[in-house]
Amino acid sequence: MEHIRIQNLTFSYPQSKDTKSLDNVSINIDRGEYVVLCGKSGSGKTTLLRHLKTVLAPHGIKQGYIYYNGKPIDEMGDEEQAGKIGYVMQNPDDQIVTDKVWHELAFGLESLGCEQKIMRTKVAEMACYFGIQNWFHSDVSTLSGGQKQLLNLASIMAMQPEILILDEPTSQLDPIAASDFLDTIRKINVELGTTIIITEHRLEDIFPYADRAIVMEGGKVIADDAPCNIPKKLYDANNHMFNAMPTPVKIFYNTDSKGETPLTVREGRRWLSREFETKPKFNSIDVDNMEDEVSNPALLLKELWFRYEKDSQDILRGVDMCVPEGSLYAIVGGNGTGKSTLLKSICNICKSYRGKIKVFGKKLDKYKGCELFSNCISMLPQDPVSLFVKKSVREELFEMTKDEKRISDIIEICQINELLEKHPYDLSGGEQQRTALAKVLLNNPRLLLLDEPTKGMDSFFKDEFGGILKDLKDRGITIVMVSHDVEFCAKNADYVSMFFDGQILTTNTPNNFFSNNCFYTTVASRMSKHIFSNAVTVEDVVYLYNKNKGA
Amino acid sequence: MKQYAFAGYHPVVNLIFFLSIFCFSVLIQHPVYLVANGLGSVIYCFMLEKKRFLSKAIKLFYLLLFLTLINPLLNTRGDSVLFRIFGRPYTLEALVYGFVVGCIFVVVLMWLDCYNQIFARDKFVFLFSSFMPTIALILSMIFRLIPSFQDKAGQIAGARTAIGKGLEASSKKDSIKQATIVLGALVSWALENSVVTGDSMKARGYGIKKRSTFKMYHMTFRDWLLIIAMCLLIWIVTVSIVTGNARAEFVPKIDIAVIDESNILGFIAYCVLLAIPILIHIKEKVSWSISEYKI
Repeated sequence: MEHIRIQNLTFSYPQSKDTKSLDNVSINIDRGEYVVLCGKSGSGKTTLLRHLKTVLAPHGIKQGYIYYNGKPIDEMGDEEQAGKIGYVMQNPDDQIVTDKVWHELAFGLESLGCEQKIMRTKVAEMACYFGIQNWFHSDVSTLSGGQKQLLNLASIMAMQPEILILDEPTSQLDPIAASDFLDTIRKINVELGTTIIITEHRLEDIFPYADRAIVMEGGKVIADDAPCNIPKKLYDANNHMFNAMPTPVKIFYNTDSKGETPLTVREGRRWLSREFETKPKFNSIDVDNMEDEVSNPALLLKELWFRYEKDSQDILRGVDMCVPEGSLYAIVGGNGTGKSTLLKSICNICKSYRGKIKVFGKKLDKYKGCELFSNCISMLPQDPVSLFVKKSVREELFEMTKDEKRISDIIEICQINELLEKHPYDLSGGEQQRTALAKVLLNNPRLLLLDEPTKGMDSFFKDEFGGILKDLKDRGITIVMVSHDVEFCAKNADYVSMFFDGQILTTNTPNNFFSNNCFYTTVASRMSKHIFSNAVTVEDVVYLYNKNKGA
Repeated sequence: MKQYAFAGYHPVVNLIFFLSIFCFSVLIQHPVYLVANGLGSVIYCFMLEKKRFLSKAIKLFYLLLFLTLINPLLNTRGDSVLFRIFGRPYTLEALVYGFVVGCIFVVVLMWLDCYNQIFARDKFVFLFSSFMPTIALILSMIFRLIPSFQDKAGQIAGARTAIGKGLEASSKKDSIKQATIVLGALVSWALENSVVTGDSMKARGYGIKKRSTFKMYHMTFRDWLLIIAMCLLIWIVTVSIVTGNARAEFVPKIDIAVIDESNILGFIAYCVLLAIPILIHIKEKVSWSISEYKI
């Protein structure tokens, strides 16, 4: 049965009348369907989703119709609209209104004037279903990002919506929390039959389970089909959204294979096994090994210890690290293990109480005043918005230096030409990240520290960002990056370290590092491990495949 | 957070107790009543926080000493002059009065400390929610914003330090300039986020109907019992004050009402009122040890 019908919807924002944010969009969504909406940032996904929730619909020129259960959506009553259509947004923090978990859970029901007894049951039900009982009485500020987003979801589910709309709900979460969250969404869909419409960058976790995928570009729907049929369309059209597809799909099409598209690692492994029934001739690629001795490290840490308070637990417990000059050094590891703290102590924002730090051969405490941050170290914070203090991107850059030539150089490197007059808050996540990077680079660092730089970026921006990092490396800048994003590290880093329990456990080149791991590794490695010994990226697998097939 | 026996009662019970205690503490200057009050506050404070009690008590003692000694300097009334300082009389009565006022100060601070332990933010918001739901919601939102503001301010300052624009700049003028920039950034961040929060509220039907409130606390039989008992005690003590049985004057002449058989009831009622949280605390401890013993 038809739940939502969008008919020839065209929309443009008042400030840009000529460009249509939505262009003749027609979509039917059935009751209980799980639909994933994908596309580059700025392709009109959020605009489309907001039209489905009338109170959040943007102002502008709108043509076309949206029907909910066969009735025009504008004719829905306020109460029906609030209760029946749930909307979860991107940022876990800002959506939370009250200070206590229980209060947040009850917020929607309170708004609808729900009776005390019914409200108690519904809240209790939600707390149980989402496993919130244990932190039911907690302050919201003590929760992790994943818990916050789960709370947002639960507080909306408490109103028992028929349709759940999620706008990039996991972009601010770490991979584990993100896949937990997506599992919960799937559970809601399967167990409660709630219709789900979700936009997501992380298609790996979601593509195999969705009923339908809709791909948007420039406000138009360019593909609307079952997930297994989407990749072929994109590949044939040579669309760059193909790069956002799950790894098995990318390998499958890049090797010009025919047949049924593998969507999961399991299917990918089966397909590879069929392709290589006999052991392949070339089962590994040549890689550089780690050099044992680094003569002139850009950064050297020896036995670094740190804790926040006198009586609290140690966060860093004897970190040893050696970063060769001119390299991209990635540190991976779980959430809350102290990776960000490590970067802060390299900047001397967190002062270590034991151990030593040498930056370009000079001890950290030998740097006086601002010396450390002028032409030496700079850090890009996790949330790029923390760096924005002015009204336009141009002013942001001029805050750092008055030298116009340097500024135009940096604008070139970070590709932010078109953003200069915009307000930094109006930019998309990827654009904000590049603007913040430009600001940091104007400090002329020789050692650049990046804290989760790919958080919230879509695959297209990620590729661009990887290119920018490579460019910087070629200019002699040493980069230390902390990240959850193993795929990005495998593709772009020179060295990868595993951070766990306040220490760096192993360091190696990406190929050696990820091929030694079985769980904490890239999708490509998990998929091809039984055939190829050290292929960790899509390119590696494709290369070995073609080499063996003699192409 | 630790769970205290008295905190397990309904917020209204807690509120009645603390309000009455604060009022009586300020109103009654009678030394015997004051001793009872002091004992009550010290015992309960100690029960709630054994570890930090000593350091707090020492600080309060200094405060008491200070208030006692300073009063005669400001207030020169009184018949028995001890000595003259800066050409002004330093009187015994004023010294005693200073001591009494100091004691009241210390006692109120002690009770305030207990209040903070017992009366969590939740309860405060709850009391408003019954008759002023909007105020309660605003309070709850403010309590949500405070920690996130602190967090964000730290983040912005940290981010700026790491690009060489830290608060610890070379000159004082620079530091102030940097601090204003951080503050400005914090404000624009807050404004930006309030838009999202507003959307989130709208999406969940805020403002379309009269709000109901989710009640975390419910009146039970023991709550009613305690309220009735407390009201009775408060009434007796109030009568005792109004009829002048708890009267005490120190300047210019020390004049204190005598407590005898005719008016001892008021004093006893006061003692019982003060002992309520202590008795509840002990009762729970004992019943727990008994049930543990049975196991």
